[in-house]
Amino acid sequence: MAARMVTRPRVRHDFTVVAMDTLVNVQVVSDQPASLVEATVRRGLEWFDLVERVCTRFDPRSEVMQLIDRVGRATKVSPLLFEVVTFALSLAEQTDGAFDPTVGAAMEQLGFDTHYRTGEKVHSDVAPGPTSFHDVAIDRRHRAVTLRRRLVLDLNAVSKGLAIDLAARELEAYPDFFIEAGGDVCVRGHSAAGEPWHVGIQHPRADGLLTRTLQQTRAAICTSGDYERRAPNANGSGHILDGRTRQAVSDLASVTVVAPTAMAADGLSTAAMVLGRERGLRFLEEQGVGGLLVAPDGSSVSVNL
Amino acid sequence: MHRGLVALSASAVAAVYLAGFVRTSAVDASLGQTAAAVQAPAARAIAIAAPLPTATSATVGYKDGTYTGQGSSRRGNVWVSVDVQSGRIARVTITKSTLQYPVRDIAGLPDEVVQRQSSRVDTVSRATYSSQAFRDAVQQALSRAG
Repeated sequence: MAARMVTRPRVRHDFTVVAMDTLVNVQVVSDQPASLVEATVRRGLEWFDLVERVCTRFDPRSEVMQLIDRVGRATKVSPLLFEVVTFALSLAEQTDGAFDPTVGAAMEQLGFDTHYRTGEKVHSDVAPGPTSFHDVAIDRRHRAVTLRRRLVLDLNAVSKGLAIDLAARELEAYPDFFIEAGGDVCVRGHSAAGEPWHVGIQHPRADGLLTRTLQQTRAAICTSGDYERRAPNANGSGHILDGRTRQAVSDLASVTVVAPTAMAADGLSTAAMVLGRERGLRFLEEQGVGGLLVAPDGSSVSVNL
Repeated sequence: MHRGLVALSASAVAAVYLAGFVRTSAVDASLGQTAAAVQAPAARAIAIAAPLPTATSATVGYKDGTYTGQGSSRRGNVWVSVDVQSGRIARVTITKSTLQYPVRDIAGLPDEVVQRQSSRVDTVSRATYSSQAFRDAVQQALSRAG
């Protein structure tokens, strides 16, 4: 006689932590005991701490900031830092420098310089200069990174996405969950209601309202916008800089990208913000991802959505 | 010919995941304090210990005990519980957070009228918001521990 399955109800398990200066929310829908779910989610969330410790420019002891003292020398780095830098440089190349991860010192100057955990001001003593992604060289064979001049790498546009993807891999034994980190979302499977996850997209000019709702069962949905983080030292201009001009972008109010990985969705949404409505749309189309680009007047264009 | 960025990101994630928590020695030396213990799960909002504001805990002496605080932002509310032991913050736990999901959708495009009938959303994609509400909640809790 076949053993009778003990069936537990599928229930929501919600988790919230703070990481990378934002809230990370995880919801798992499962019939597994809460203790098992929690142990897995904990392992997943540890990736956020690791990614932050390696990639943050707000801590002079982070691996990426230690590169500043090794200008001109090839430095063997962790696989994590190597992959993040490599991806950021590819994104820079493929946008002809519109996206540029070497804007870190310019970001400090705009006032994005306070460590959220300690409240301490961080200054790298690197003058914001005419740096570009060409000043960073990588060597895959030796897993090495070389800074050709003193510069601060700002990896924020891709590192949170990577952390989400790593956490999602840790959770992959569970078919139904979402991870939301400060507005970047990754969904798998179905909600407790048995439906695809309903992911709203915040309207950039109508607080608390959505410009659209997507239904997804396996995707990352990341949004970059000008409406959350404003520069303390520049009359509240946005936090996304054009890599070529070092000026805040203004053509678009938000860009949402739907992609298989949060790393791509995160990076490509930032890049499209810089590229602007026409070029950004074309770029997202070329990359084969879904995109919704909303202009400051609320009008929008989309591709593959 | 460029390799697509989606494919590049997928290999990057796989490479990092497979490498696991391998770090260079330079990084090991710089590892900060990691998140502390985990609270037993509650019914709905399960809380995990949050990163500690290390600077304040190192410099200010508080009265031992457990204090609660709340912080608010446009995103919603966060409630925290701060455990003080031997005058220092031993643990900060998010006991509850409510993100205010919108109940109305904006009519962006005509074909979204159908979607508006189901206004329920599970989560919202938006530009990155800061953890200021969390910090406010911790500060409020600490103001009671002074």
